Amino acid sequence: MSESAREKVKPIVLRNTETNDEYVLEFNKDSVRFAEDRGFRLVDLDNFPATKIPEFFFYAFRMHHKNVQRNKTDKMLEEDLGGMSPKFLQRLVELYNEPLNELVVDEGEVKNPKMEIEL
Amino acid sequence: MTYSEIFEINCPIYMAYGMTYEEYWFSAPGRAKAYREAYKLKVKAKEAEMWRQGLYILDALNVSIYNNLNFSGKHRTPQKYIEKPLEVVAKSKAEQRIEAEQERQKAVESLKAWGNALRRKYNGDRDIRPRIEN
Repeated sequence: MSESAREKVKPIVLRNTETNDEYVLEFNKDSVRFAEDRGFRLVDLDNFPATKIPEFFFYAFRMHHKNVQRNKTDKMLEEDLGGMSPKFLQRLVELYNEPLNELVVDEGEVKNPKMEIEL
Repeated sequence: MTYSEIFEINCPIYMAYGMTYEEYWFSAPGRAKAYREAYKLKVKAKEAEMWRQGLYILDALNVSIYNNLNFSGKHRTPQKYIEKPLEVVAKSKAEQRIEAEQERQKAVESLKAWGNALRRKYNGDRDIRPRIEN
């Protein structure tokens, strides 16, 4: 997909129906750096989902809600959301990749490619 | 290489594009791309400006050489440096209409003057316009 055609991934919005608290989950370069400084790597999500998914969820709050504590996000994930669905996780991964993707310069499609891609 | 390392490497590049340090690290994704695209446009505009400057210099040299170095010794009408800057920004439709109208007026005036000159030359002050006889 060409650079101009790539759509921006929308942030995830969590809304508590009882308290009306709203949380926007998104990543910027600083929050990705924050996660990596604490040893987080995206590949670990597959290898250690039980520990890395809650950690990943916590980092997603860093950009818009810096003061939210880890125990609060763990509780939210465990009790309020009942875990993380694959779709939710996929969107978080896409959001995590966004700061990097915006730096990738697509020089356009190769003319007369020798191979076609079918997804 | 981690994402953070890539971000660190790119930070000064994007700051050269005009982004502040805070914008680069703390803004939502998307802004960096806008800065990169804007920088491309700036470079393009700068190149066009330099190319135009080359044209001005070329014209100045041509005029200067033509006017000052006359090897044939014959009298020549001196050349003039371009009278107004080259137009870069495309004219709006309204401007184009006004200019076309001015050109038309000029052509009408010149035709009238030409007609008057002809009349004076061949017929004195008599009106030579064709008349329809009843």
